Parts: sequence; structure tokens; C-alpha cells
Amino acid sequence: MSRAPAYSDVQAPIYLAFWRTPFFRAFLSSPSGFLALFLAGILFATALLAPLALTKEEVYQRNVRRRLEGPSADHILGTDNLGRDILKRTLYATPLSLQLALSAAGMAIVIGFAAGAVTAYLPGRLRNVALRLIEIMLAFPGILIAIMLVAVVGTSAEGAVLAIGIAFSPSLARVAYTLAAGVAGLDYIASARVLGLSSRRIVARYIIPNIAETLIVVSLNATAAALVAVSSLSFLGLGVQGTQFDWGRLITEGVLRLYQVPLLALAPATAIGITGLTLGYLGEALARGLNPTLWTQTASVQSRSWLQRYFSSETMLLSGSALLLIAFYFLPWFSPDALDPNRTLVTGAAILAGRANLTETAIGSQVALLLLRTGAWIALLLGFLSYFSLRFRRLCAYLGLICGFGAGSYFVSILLADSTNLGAALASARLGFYLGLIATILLIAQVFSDKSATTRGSHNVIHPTSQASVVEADMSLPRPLLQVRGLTVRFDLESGAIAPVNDINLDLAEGEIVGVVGESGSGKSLTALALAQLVPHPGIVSAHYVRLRGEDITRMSAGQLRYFLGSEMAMIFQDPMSSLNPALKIGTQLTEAPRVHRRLSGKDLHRLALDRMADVHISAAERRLRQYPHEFSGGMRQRAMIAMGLMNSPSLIIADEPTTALDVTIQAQIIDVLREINQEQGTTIMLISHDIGVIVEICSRVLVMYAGRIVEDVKVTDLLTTDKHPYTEALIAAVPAFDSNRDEPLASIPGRPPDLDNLPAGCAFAPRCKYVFERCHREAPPLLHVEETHRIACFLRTEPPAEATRE
Amino acid sequence: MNKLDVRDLVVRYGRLTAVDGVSFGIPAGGTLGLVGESGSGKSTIARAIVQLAKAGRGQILLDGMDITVAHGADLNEMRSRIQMIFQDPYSSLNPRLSVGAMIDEVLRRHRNMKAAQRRLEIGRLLEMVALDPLFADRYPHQFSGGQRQRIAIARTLASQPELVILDEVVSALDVSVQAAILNLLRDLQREFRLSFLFISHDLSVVRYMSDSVCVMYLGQIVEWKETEDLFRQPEHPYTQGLIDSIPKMIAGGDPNRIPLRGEIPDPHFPPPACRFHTRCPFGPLAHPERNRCREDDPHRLIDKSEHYAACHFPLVRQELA
Ligand SMILES: Nc1ncnc2c1ncn2[C@@H]1O[C@H](COP(=O)(O)OP(=O)(O)O)[C@@H](O)[C@H]1O
Ligand code: SF4
Ligand code: SF4
Ligand SMILES: [Mg+2]
Repeated sequence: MSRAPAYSDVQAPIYLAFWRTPFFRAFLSSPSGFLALFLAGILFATALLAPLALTKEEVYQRNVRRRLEGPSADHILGTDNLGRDILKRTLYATPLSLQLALSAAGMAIVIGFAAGAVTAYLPGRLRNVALRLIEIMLAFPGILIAIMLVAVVGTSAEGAVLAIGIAFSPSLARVAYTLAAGVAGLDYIASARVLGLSSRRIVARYIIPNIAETLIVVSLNATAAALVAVSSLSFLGLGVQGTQFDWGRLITEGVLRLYQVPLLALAPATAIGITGLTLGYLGEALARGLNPTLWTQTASVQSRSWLQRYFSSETMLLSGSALLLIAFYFLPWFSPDALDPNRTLVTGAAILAGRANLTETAIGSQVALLLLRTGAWIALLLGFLSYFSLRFRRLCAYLGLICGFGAGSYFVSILLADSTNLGAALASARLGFYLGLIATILLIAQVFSDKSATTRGSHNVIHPTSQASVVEADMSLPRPLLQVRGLTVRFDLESGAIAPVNDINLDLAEGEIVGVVGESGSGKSLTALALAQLVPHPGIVSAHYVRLRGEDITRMSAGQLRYFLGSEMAMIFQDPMSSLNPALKIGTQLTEAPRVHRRLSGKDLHRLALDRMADVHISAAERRLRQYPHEFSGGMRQRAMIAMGLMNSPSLIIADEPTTALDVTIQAQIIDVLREINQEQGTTIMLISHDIGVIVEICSRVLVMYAGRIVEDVKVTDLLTTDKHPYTEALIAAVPAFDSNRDEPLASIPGRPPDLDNLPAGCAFAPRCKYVFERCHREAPPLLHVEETHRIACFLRTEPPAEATRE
Repeated sequence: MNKLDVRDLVVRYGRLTAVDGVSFGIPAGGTLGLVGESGSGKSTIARAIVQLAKAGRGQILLDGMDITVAHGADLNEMRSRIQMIFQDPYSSLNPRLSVGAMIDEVLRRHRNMKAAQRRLEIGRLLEMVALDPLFADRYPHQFSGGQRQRIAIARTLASQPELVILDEVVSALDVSVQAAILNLLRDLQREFRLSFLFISHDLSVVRYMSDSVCVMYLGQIVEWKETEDLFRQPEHPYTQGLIDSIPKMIAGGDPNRIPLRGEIPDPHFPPPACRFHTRCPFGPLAHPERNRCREDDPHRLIDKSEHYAACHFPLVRQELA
């Protein structure tokens, strides 16, 4: 698309054929792209060709003698109440239906986007009025407004288009407003201005490409909604009039005879469904093509095995529905009365009553047919639901597959029945039945495993692992509060499994402040989250044991655990705003945990809250407790978070970058608060920070992490004197010290941390280490004691090679 | 003559005066550091200089020519000589343009070059910031924070600026990456004789980068000194407080530091006279007889064309007395 020339004119000036542009490749990188193209092609062709291929007579000519017939060779989907071919009429209605939907949507899009963009540039007060207006209109369902408008402009096809165009515009205006207002404030727009780019260029290259994706998806969704709305108006008799008919009017005729000839309503409804599906897939694929951040994921999709790719839910949905369609399409030629609903029901009842005297083949095929029919109805229903949730989409895919299997084997059994090979027909019918059964079991299992996967994320129990290999690494701590062995966090990603926290052992003594330092991505935060049972969804946490106050939390039940951690451990995050509830007063949030955990009375709770506010030096605590988080400054919120953590007098506080977002002055104050709490209440603190200066300031011991492992465990007083891990050394050297020579370049660490899915063999730091020697590439150095209070994972320090010692 | 002179600059956002009468100068090839707590007006000064915010009063002189009154071709020409790099390398690059395309945009706008020349130049610029020229076809999301900041630097150099405003450019980066970016910036400065306005809340970094430093508090510059002087002998109590707040790599913390209490007051209602008097450990809070701090604005009498500290009781002289 528009980006392709820009892409190629910086590169070598090769002409990229359209189908080789990254846009098109990303477009087709998943089945939805193919589906979108395929379905859109069919729709387009039908809309163009149907009026040419079908004569008016074929569509309008009545033939009362053949009214309300089931599918047959003459009338593939049967006939309506005037004996006209259902399929032909449905196809014939395609151009009108699409035309009405597109004009209504087009109108809504033009009005909506223009109104939204204008609103974004209105001056303050006018903008508020306009926004309020849009919101009021949004409060009513679009179709309701449309019906009222039709009453005003008159019932006709044009009237319906006009009404829907107007009724649907507020929601589009809202989207356009949000996008326009949001994008204008972004840094990259500001930087384009500073770079002196013209406004026209900024709009064309910076604003439009960044909102196009959303606009296209929204527009296509609006078109689908407009189709449904126009059809609904026609259905109600408020749209297309006279002899003209669209899908909506066909449904009107159909619902009256739903039980006699279901296909009469089903055919136009399916047409609407297919069009909606096409628009949805088209939006999905276009969005993928327009977003370069998704282009590379394309590569990872392709790196999956063909099996995974072709058994994704979309493909299964596709293959299931395809089989279903084929079955519906060809059945009548072979067994014209097979689809007679009465016979099916009768046979079904006969089977249930055990009085069936039909041949077994017939029973088998009837059962398969029954499966097919109910399955088709449920699949259709779920197909609509699948727009709302992924779970339903997968369910629908499996059902589609079941129907496909059922239909396929039914088809085969009928073929064989005609050829009088009864044994084979029987086998085929049985096969169909069992396949359907297996698919049903699969489906049920799938739905349940989905459910258990989502609940796993919410309380992420640490899985105990076998203790055989536990190193009782004696860290000679006098009074251990926390002992962690073999803590591992894994994510099974599409590209492979990674372990951002990889088999770490650590002990915290009572009353200690221990720092954890390392570059971003080294696994500091995940270690903390794993201890607090907060690792996000697909993450899997395991450990040999995690003992807090001597109790192994890996062996507790979920309920026990929540209670135990709630009273023993508190967690403080970098961004307090994201962990405070903006809708509740600070006082309410402060007293929530002790109300649950300690059953204190209201007055005691209040006194406790005041005490804790005093601990963190918040003045005017009475008034502050009645305020909401947004009334607090960043530093205040962090204090409030700490106060909240202190409410249950926990024995351990884990603080993840608690001062990173704050100014140095406020950082110094928060450090003082933490130090006071540690000294006065004896609380153990684990302080995570990327700033080694902060850690030196307050901690007694520091753990250095690199690529998911602890590479050094050292007393802070030794940090600046003894031999250290090369990574620790480099980290310290990179900080511009206060007395460093300003004329010399700073020491920096070359390269970047390794990708977790592609760790180097041997020492993970080897590619960046200036002391690296041959052994480092072969073996991973274990974390070993070099002194009683000092552990290092580096061969240079634990088993120096001969030449290194000589130096 | 200075590359940039800012004289008595005032910037307002509605009723809020975010920058209130600020003056400073940056010599050609020199670096001026700007420090202060968040909300003190550092970024507003930057935005005013690159015309993203409107100067309410005062002059911004580039080589002696006032940008605030320039227009048309003059203004465009002057703007191209001043560039800015932003704090967040994740939001300052357009995600929909490849690295090559975004540098190409700038070359098209500011340099009269043919397509083939531009391609060569893109490669050269990327090499200059120690990136592989082949990265030109990649998109921002494929890079780490440090690499993105290098891309932003390469894009800035494409317009051949004389003055670059660096707003917290290393704050979002890891120390290891930060050091490399700082080294790169200093090398480029030397090579192209760039002038820098280096904004940061991290005093150690500012000390390393700057020749002289301005300390801001509530929209005003309270002290302006040569870097060495400022850090060796701060005169303004606020400067002292900032310096005391930085972790010093001393286990257990510096026992002699005097911590700053409280937070920045609401800038809509700045305290009268000396704006720092509500937090100053040397002002009326600690010494009730120092009423002058509450009544008399220390900025009133100062000649701001050279280094100064806006305080009635400067620390150095106190110690001497
Ligand atoms: N939800 C997740 N899914 C996949 N990987 C994750 C997830 N969360 C974190 N990671 C990976 O774990 C690594 C460590 O992350 P984190 O603990 O946040 O590091 P740090 O705190 O040191 O910055 C990162 O490289 C990141 O890619
Ligand atoms: S083991 Fe080797 S590569 Fe790893 S840190 Fe030690 S010296 Fe460097
Ligand atoms: S004038 Fe007074 S209050 Fe202001 S900084 Fe100086 S001593 Fe402090
Ligand atoms: Mg982190």
C-alpha cells in the first residue's frame, strides 16, 4: 500500500511486486487473509453476476404447484411459498443488500469521522458540548434511532439508508475523536514538528498511517453492522418496498414458515452471516498488513509447524463449514427426501423408543443426519457468539468439525447404500457416529482445559519440584526468614520456552535489607512476582521449596496461601497509581487488608491507619485518609503504598523499583522511610532497583542478576573493595560517579543482554565480558562461595585459569 | 557570542506560569545542564526553544537573532538549526516508518540531495551512531531502548543542527546503555561542534556532560554556575539539597547530608518572595529571624547575564562568615 514505495526507496531500488510487499505477505500470513480474499471474491462476483446470470422470470415467476418444496435437483435449496427458487432469490438479492449496506455505512463513516475530527479541534468549551452531545446519542441503541428516523423520512430503501447513516455516525465520531485527540499529543508528532516537516507530510506519514488500522477495522465493522441494520429495517417492513427485495425481506418471508422450510429463512440469514464474516476477516487481515510491528510476528507464525498452522481454530472452522456446505449442496441429488425434517424426527423418535424397524444403515445415516442438523444450528448460533470471545470461536470450530465429519460420513453412507453394499455403508455410518463422538469428547475437554487455563492465571500457585537436586547452599544466615531453592519462572511462547527466572537459590535473614540489581529484563521483577504469587497468565512458577518463616508455601492450598502471604508479605511497585484503586479513598484502601486478615474494629482500624501514615511521614493524616489517590502527588502515593503494605505488620516487604519514577529528592525521602521501618519494626526488605547507588545506600547485601540467574551475592561493604563478578564490576563502572574525571569517556558494557530464547552456551555474560576465556564458552559457571558471605558465578573468580592467575 | 541566549523567558499554560523570567546562555560547542525536580519547568523551556510552546515574554536568540519574532523563511531556516531529542525512545519514533524512511524524510526536507545520495547518507548517519547501515529497512519496534535513542540521534544529525536540546535522553535507559549514549553524544559534540542544552533530573549525569549548570525550582533558575564550582561549592540551599539527595555509593548513605523535606508546592500558587522558603533548611523554617526570605524576592536584584545564586543567605558566604 502507501508504505511500499517508501520502504523500497531507502532500500536498494528494486521494484517489489505487490504480492511480495510486506503488507501483502502479512495480510496472507494467517488463514483469515485467504478466507477474506476468497469470501470477498465470491461476494463481489455474486453481486456482479447474479443480476446478469439470472433472468427476472427465474426470480419472480410463480409456480404454486411446487410451493414450499424441500431441496431437490431442480431447486437446490427448495422453493418458497410461491414456488420460487430460494437459492436464486437469495443470490439475486445480493447486489441490493450490499449496495444498501455500503451506502448506509459510507454515510455513517463520512459524517462520523468528519464530526469526530472537527470536535477534536474545537476550542475547549465547544468541544465539551459536542462531546456531551455525542455521548447522549450513544446512549441509545443505533437501530432504535434509525427506526425513529425512518418514521420521519419515510419508509423506503433510501429512507432506511439515510436513517442508518445518521444513527450510526455518533459511535464513529467518538472513535475518530479519540484517535485524533490522542495522536496529536504524541512525542513522534512533536519530533516531526521540530524536524521541520510540513503539516501535510506530518498528516500523511505520521498521523494517518498510525490511525489507519483502527479506522479501517472500525469502518468494516460499521459496514457489517449497517448490513444487519438495513436488513432488520427491511425485515420489519420499514426498508425495501414493493417488488424489490433484499436479504432482510427474504427473512421476513422465511420466518413465517420456519418450521416447514427452514432454508427459506436460513439462506438469506447465512448470506448476511457470510458477509459479516468476510468483513471481519478482511479487517483483521488488513490491520495485520498495515501494522509493521506484526510483520515480524508473521515470521514466527510461519516458523510453527504446518500441523500447528493448519489446525488453528480458523482453519478448523473453515474446513468444518466447507464440509457442511458440500454436504448440503450435493445431498439432494442423491437422496432428495433425506432432508425432510419430518422423516428425520420420526426416525429419531423411533430410535429412542427402540421400535425402529429400519435397516441399520438407515438408522446410522439418520443419526448422522440428526447430528448434522443440530450441530449446524448450534454452530450457527455459536458462530455469532464467536465474535465476542475467543473461547466461543474455538468451540464453534470444533462443532464445525463434528458437523463436517457427520455430514461427510452420512454422505458416504448414502452413496454406498445406493450401491447396495450394505456392510460397507453400515461401517461408514458407524464411523461417522464414532468420529462425532470423539469430536464431542474433544470439544468438552477443550472447553474445560480453556477454563482451567484462565483460572490458573489468577492464583498462580508455585509448583513444588522434586527435591533430589536441592543444593542446601548454606549461606550461613543466622536467622533465615525466607529460603528459596530452585525458583524458576517459565513462559511457553510460540517461539519456544523461555525461563526469565532460572533456578535461583536465595536466603534472606530476618531484619536484613537485601538489594537486587541488574539490567532490565534480567528477571528481577519476575522473581519478586513469583514470590508474591503474581506472575501473569501463561507463566509457570516452580521451586524445590520456598520457606517463609520456616513454612513451605509451595505446599500450601490456595486459601492458606492467600491468608499467609497477606499477613506475612507486602509488595510495593514502581507505579503506585496502578496498584491503588482510583475510585476508593486512601483510608478505605489502607484498612481493607487488616479488616480481612485481623478482624479489627472500625476504631482500631482507623487508629492503625493513622499510625502507619505517621510511619511514612504523611502529615495531616486525618484529612489525607479521606482523599482519593489522584489528589496525592507521586511521592505521596508511594508513601501511601508503603503505609498500606505495613498495615498487617508483614515480616517481609518486597519493593520493586519503588523510587525509579520519583525525583531524587523524593527518592531520598522514601529510602529514609524504608530504612526507618527496617530499623524500628525489624521488617526484612527486598529492594529491587536498577540503580546500584540506591542499593549501596540502604542495603546490607546485594544480589546481582543476569539473564535470569543470580551471578553474585555480596555484602555491600565488600562491593567496592573485593574482586567481583565481571558484570557487577562493569555495572558499577558505568555509573558516572560524583568525583569521576569528566574528560574521560564512561565505561560502558558492550552489546546487550542475551535473548532468553537464544542464550549462549556456557556463561551467559561471555559475549560481553572483557575477561572471557575459552572455558566460559563451554560450561555455565555455577554460583559458588569464594568467601563465607560472598558467592560468585564466574570461573575467573572461582577457578581462575592458569594464565589469569599469573597476571 | 553565544550560540543561544535566552533572556527573561516567560511561558504560560493558561493561568499557570510554568517558566517565570529565565535567562541563560550556551556558547558554541558548549553544554549547559538544566536540573531540577519534575514540574520545575525544564521541559517547558525546551519546548519553547523549539517552538512547541509559545513564549509569553522574553527573547530566544540564536546567534543573536530572536526566534520568537522571526517568521517565514527566516524562521524555517532557524528552526532547522535547533533540534531536540526526547526522553522516551519508545514514543518519539513513528512506529509506521522504517528507520531509513524516517531519516530520509529529514534529508528531503533539509538537504538538497538526490535519492542515491540520500541512501548513502542514511548509511553514513547510522554508522555515525554505531548502528549497522542495514538497519535502515527495519522498524522501530525491532530495536532496544538504547538502539532507538541512537536512531533518534542519527535522525537529528540528518538536519545538521547547531544546537541540540536533550530532554532526559538517558533517563529511560539502563546504566550500561546510558554510559554508551553519553559517550556517543560527547563524541558527536566534539566532531560537529554542537551546542547542547542537556536536561536531566540526574545530577551525576549532568555533572558529567555539562560545562555549566542551571538549577531550576518552580519555574525559576535559582543558581547558574560553572559545573565544577556548582558541585564543589553550591551557594543556593536548594542546589545543596539536590546534591545531598543523590546516592553517593557510600554504604549506609552519607551521614553528613541534610535531606530536603517536603515536596514542590503547587505551581499555580508559588510561595511569595523566595519560592523555596517553605522547604529551605537554611531559611525561616530553621532560622526564624530570616524574615527577608519571606518578604523580599532574591531574584529582584540579580544581574542574570552572568553566574548567580538567587538567595539572600548563600551557603559559601555563610561558611566564610
Ligand atoms: N508475561 C510475560 N510473557 C513473556 N515473557 C515475559 C513476561 N513477563 C516478563 N517476561 C520476560 O522476562 C524477562 C524478565 O522480566 P522482568 O522480571 O520484568 O525484568 P526486570 O525486572 O529485571 O526488568 C524479560 O526479558 C521479559 O521478556
Ligand atoms: S565465566 Fe567467563 S565469561 Fe562469564 S563472567 Fe566469568 S570470566 Fe566472564
Ligand atoms: S533566600 Fe532564604 S529561603 Fe530562599 S533559599 Fe535563600 S536562605 Fe533559603
Ligand atoms: Mg523491572
